Amino acid sequence: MSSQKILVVTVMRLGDTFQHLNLIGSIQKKHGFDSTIDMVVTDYSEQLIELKGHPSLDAIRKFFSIPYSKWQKELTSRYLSIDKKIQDLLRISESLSRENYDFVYNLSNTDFSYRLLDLVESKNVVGAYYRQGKATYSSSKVKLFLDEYGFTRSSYRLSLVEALANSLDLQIPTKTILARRSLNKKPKVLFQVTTSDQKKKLTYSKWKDVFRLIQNQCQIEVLSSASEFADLQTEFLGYAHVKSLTIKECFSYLNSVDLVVSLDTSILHLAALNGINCLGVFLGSGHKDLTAPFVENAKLISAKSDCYPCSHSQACSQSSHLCEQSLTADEITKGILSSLSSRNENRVLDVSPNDWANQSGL
Amino acid sequence: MLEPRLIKEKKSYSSLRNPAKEISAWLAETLPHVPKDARIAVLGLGDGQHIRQLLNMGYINLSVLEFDPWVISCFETFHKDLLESYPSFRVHRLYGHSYFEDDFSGYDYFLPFRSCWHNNAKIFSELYSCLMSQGSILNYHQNLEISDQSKKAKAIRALVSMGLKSGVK
Repeated sequence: MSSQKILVVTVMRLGDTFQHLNLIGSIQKKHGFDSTIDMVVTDYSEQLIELKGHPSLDAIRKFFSIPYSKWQKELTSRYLSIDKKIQDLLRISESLSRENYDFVYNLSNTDFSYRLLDLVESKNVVGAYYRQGKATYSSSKVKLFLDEYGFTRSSYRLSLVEALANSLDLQIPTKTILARRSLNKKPKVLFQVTTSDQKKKLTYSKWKDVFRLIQNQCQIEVLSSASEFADLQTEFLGYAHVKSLTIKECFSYLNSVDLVVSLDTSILHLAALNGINCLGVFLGSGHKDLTAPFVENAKLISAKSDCYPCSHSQACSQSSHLCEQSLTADEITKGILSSLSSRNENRVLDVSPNDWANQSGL
Repeated sequence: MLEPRLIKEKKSYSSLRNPAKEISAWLAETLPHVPKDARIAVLGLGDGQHIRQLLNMGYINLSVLEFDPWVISCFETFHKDLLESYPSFRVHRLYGHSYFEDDFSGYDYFLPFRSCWHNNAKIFSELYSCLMSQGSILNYHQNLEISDQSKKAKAIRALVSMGLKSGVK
């Protein structure tokens, strides 16, 4: 079999894209390790283009980026022209068609991705797509997956990435934790306390209560973007050390961390991708069944209010943030301490990134 | 020097009381969104004072879209210096509804100067809603035949699907 050209389409947010990277190894295994894999991402997730040192990322030959968030913003602008965006989209789709891919995998469950694939010429498409304006599925399993996961429910049997893998006949690797020998005297816990979605947030005062409860046992660090650094530093002065890191810096920094505690954000999935011990705190539309971090022993804490989980696209329907109120600082603290103790039970592996594929059964 | 004021069929092409204030208000509302090197099309030529101001402020990649040949000829008379001093500046004459055949893809921004639309308000509004991002995308989409499978039609459908609040599926 001659080497095949594969395109993977993941036009979603950064966290979803990190989860999709779990499927790259399986695509390689299916089409041969000499196959070339390119990836279409959006500007929401183009920071991952800079990342190196993970087998799934290193397997990608070329990235194509679609200025999705820019277009979304411009499409609601009062003054900007639509014609230019049409031309830009056609230019991107033509450059993809010129690559003459043997297989295109659509890992995104968005209408835009299906429409994009109507513009890209390829020999085979795996997943859902439009062909000459008609919704098309590469198999009945894909349609079943979209029917089942197309709307919010209270519980799901499989996480989104597991169900997606099943529908595309891909094997998802065994969840792995590459526990590292900690060099820290006190375990280092990195917190991601902010998210762009208000519904998924825990109040800063609750985080401070948590920090107060664990400060004797742990080194506490709060992750920040450059834009929120000054605010977070003022807010958590005396409670935690605030670190401003880019995604690229964070990717390598995570190796020195014993536990990542995060709301439902891309950092949680980046930590999981790196095999770091995680504790996810799920509120609002952050669905713990759907988007749990794909790593062994990850612990999840979720809201207990009746309205949880709510829909992604709507604002909180309650008079107060009930799901946030349903979680106490004690519960989160217990989760952290339990995650740190289970860390010590993990088998410590000294593995290089190149061994990762073998370790995970690929 | 007195600035020329155009009046046609008892309608003025700019504010009779305070045209300077009218232009400053328009510039203040519009310009924060527009970078200087953008390719701009202003909808409506009118007296031409707003165009003079934009060019003097450094927005030189400028064109004006205008339907009325009389307004264009007045502009060419009273603002000849602008046409000579700014080589990239153009007045783009439109011919009624055939504007749908014109290619507007070379412009990044469309700035409507409504005060001078009086005599052609309806067709200017139609043109603007066609060119405007959201209005235009919905217009385009609503006018698309389901059977239209041209690449442009597919690209429009893809853009419509990007989660526009009023987007149609």
